[in-house]
Amino acid sequence: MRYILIFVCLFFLIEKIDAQVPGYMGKKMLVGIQYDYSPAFGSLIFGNFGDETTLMDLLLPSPKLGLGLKFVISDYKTFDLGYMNQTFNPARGGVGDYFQTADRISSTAHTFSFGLSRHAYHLAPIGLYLSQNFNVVSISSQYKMKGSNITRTVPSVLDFGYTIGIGSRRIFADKIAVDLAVNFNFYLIGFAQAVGFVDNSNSGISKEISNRSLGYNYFDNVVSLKLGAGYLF
Amino acid sequence: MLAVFFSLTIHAQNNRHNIIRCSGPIPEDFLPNKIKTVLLSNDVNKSAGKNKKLFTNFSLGNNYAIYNQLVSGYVIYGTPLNNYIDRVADKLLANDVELRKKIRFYVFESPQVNAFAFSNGIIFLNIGLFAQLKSEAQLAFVMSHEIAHYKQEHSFKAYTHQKTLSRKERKSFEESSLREELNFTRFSRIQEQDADEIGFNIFKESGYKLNEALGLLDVLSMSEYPFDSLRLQKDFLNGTYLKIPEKYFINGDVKAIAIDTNEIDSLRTHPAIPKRKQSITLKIGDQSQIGKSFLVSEEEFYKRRNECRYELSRLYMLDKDYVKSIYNCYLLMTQDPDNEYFYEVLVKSLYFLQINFNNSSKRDVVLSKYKAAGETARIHYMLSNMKTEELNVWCLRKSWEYHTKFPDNEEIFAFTKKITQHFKSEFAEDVSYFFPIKEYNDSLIQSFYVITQQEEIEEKKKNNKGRKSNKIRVVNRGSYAKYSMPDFITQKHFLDVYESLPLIAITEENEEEISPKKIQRVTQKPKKELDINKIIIADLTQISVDERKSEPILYRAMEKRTQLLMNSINICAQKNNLDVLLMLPEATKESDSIIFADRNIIIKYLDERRRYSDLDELYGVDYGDIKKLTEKYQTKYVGVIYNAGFILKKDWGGVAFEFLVSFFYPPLIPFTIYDAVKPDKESYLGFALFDVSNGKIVYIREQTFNTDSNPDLLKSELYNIFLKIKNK
Repeated sequence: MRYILIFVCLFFLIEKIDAQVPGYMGKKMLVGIQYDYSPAFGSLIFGNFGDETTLMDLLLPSPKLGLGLKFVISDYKTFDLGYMNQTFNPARGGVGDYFQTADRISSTAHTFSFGLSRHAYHLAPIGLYLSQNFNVVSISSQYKMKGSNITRTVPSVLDFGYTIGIGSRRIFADKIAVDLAVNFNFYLIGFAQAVGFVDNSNSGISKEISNRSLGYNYFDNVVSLKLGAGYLF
Repeated sequence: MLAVFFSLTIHAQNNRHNIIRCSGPIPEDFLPNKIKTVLLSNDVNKSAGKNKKLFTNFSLGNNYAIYNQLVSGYVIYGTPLNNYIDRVADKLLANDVELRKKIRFYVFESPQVNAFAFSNGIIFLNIGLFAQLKSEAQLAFVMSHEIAHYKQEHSFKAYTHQKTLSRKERKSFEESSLREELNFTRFSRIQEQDADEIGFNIFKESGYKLNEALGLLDVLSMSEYPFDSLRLQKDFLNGTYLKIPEKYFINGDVKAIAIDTNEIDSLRTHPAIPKRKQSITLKIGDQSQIGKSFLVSEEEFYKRRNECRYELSRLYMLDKDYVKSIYNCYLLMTQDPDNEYFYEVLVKSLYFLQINFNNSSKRDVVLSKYKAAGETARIHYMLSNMKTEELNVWCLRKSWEYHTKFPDNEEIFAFTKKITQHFKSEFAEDVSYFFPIKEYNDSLIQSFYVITQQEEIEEKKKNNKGRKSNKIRVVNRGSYAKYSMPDFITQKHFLDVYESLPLIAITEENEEEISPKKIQRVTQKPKKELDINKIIIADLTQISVDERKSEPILYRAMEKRTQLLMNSINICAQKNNLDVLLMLPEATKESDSIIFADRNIIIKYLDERRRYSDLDELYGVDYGDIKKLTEKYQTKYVGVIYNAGFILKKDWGGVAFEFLVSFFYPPLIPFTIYDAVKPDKESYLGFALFDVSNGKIVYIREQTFNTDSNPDLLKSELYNIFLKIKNK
């Protein structure tokens, strides 16, 4: 794993690595929590935004929370590792044949990301930065049929994505980093699902839930606002 | 003349002139908080009314400017000279105790004949002015003139006048700038007349001799020239075995000093002197002989004036006027020939002349024969004729003579070595350049510069062909340069020093301009590892500007930012385990009087260094004192920090374009709105670390950020700077 990380670092490193890596006042590592916000485009666009849902459902979707680790590797760059978790219902107020009989569908997306942030000044990890990350998302879903107490599990599906973002980070009290960024995400399989390349009809309930969750994930991440808070080591 | 002689003989008893330096406790005016807040609130309260905003702006700007002047290193307090001036002020304002309390006099280290009054009652008197005065009464008249400026609130009136002018300027676009300028200078002249008038009344009441006011105006009319005009003897410039060719000297009379008699004063800030004389004569009437020329002490006056005249030699150097410095030494040496101080000044002047000649900036220090007037013209003429090589040898010869005269003087020796090193690097790596004594022949050398009749005819013909002038150039068939050191090249000490001095390394930046031979000499590469444990930070320039406002400088923000920077420096230094001494006026406490006085020396050196920014290294005028300070503070590294924050005018064209784009792609609308609302900011942080023992820049770092210089950004940058210095 270590060698893979080193390889990834070198791969993205366009400028030479400075022998001295200052970080922020000598602190190079930043560990913190992060929250991604985007309106529930997934629910809206994917067509399962039912009559009973309100505007608040659109504006306040289920939260995306996670952990982040950033490590300064040169004056201008930080290496980013992240994990995000979101639980959502990919077919609320369902329209498909199966969903009329399905109840309590729940999908959990585990997103792992790694990449680099390129800072505007030589003062990584603070100030303005542009980031690019590769993401792997694993979505596992569960559902329960109406009138049944048995919960069924849908096999996990994977998707691969690419994120670019622009953000700014500030430090308070020399220890706490606060981060604000806008990210644009692109998911490969989710995109195919979203534009209708995948035919969901007659593919079985498990398959359809998986596909819908991938599509939902795609739309819900097209544009997101990231808020982060972390501790510097 | 008798008085001059009297005063000079008093001084001649002391072997060495002690440079005027601040001493004693720091006056309240110099302490950071007092000047900025207390004076401001008083001013604002006083002027509460419709002009309040204008007055607040004026006070902020004015206090900032005064404070910057006070901590510039050039303002002197606590000396016998200050004491004497205060006593004269007591006499002048004996009838107005309240006014006396408000006014503080300080001495300003400048050779210019000038004085300044500020709106808060601080008055600066230049050393150059004191050196030229003939009596205490003349000093009193200058002081009363400046007191009148304060009393009449001239600075504030000039400020408001300027403000109304600029408004008018906005309205009447077509008015020419010259007319505005004339308007302002006319206003300034009215104030000067006013100050003359009110100042004269103060002067009259004090009991000084009224006629001296006219004497002062005579002094002012000669203010461009040294305090005396003794004929300069060639022997002063020549040396043993070094005979500067006759052609290089003005043998007759020099161009006469042009006394300011011009009555047209339309472009001056002050009225023409004849006009001022006329109005003062009218005021004096038949009371010209009433009063005394000295009320405090005649002896003290001459003593202090002489001190100032000695200082002038040094100050002319700080002003880059090396010729005047040499001539000033000459004037004083006629009475006090063996004073070591003059030789120190002379050797330094030679060093500065040499570096200016070698650096192709001869024109900065030497006037053409058409411009130079008075006795200094002889030196200007000689220097303008000298070739760089000849000047170098002249400097070498003279400096070694001075060193031989005072072998124990470390300062003279240091500069002599520097002159030798420059000569060695530029002209002769080896002493074999010089001819031995047996080849020295005075007539041979002079023959190099004498033009034969035939040559003269040919020269005239040549000149007449191209141009109408029949001017004859000085023809050099050889040079005295190689014949100038026959005695020294046999001395072991000279040879040892010459051999031991390394060639001056040439930095990589200048490589393109130099010959391949010189490139080979580049042996000293800049050291990457600094490994410094202690530094002094002597200057922190902070400016915050909001370009959108009519009063763009944000004074209050600047004060806060300076505090923030100082705190950040302390934190970052501590984290890097670097010993940083903040020798800043903003960090000054009443108990720091010695540090504050030491800072003045350092800051002046840095100012001097700035004027020679194109050089790799520079020995300063106060080299000896700087060296002592490096030993005292156990570091020779002095840093300066520049921090600027700008709020820029909005680029509405860019915003309009963004709106256009977002019209076609609506998700961008929030960003466009954010861009339109958010002010555009830019900040700059620069740091330079000097080795003050030789003026080399050890480390320099500059960063511009297109964002506000927020605290973490500053800290991070400062931390990185200190990390590089410390190199853990």
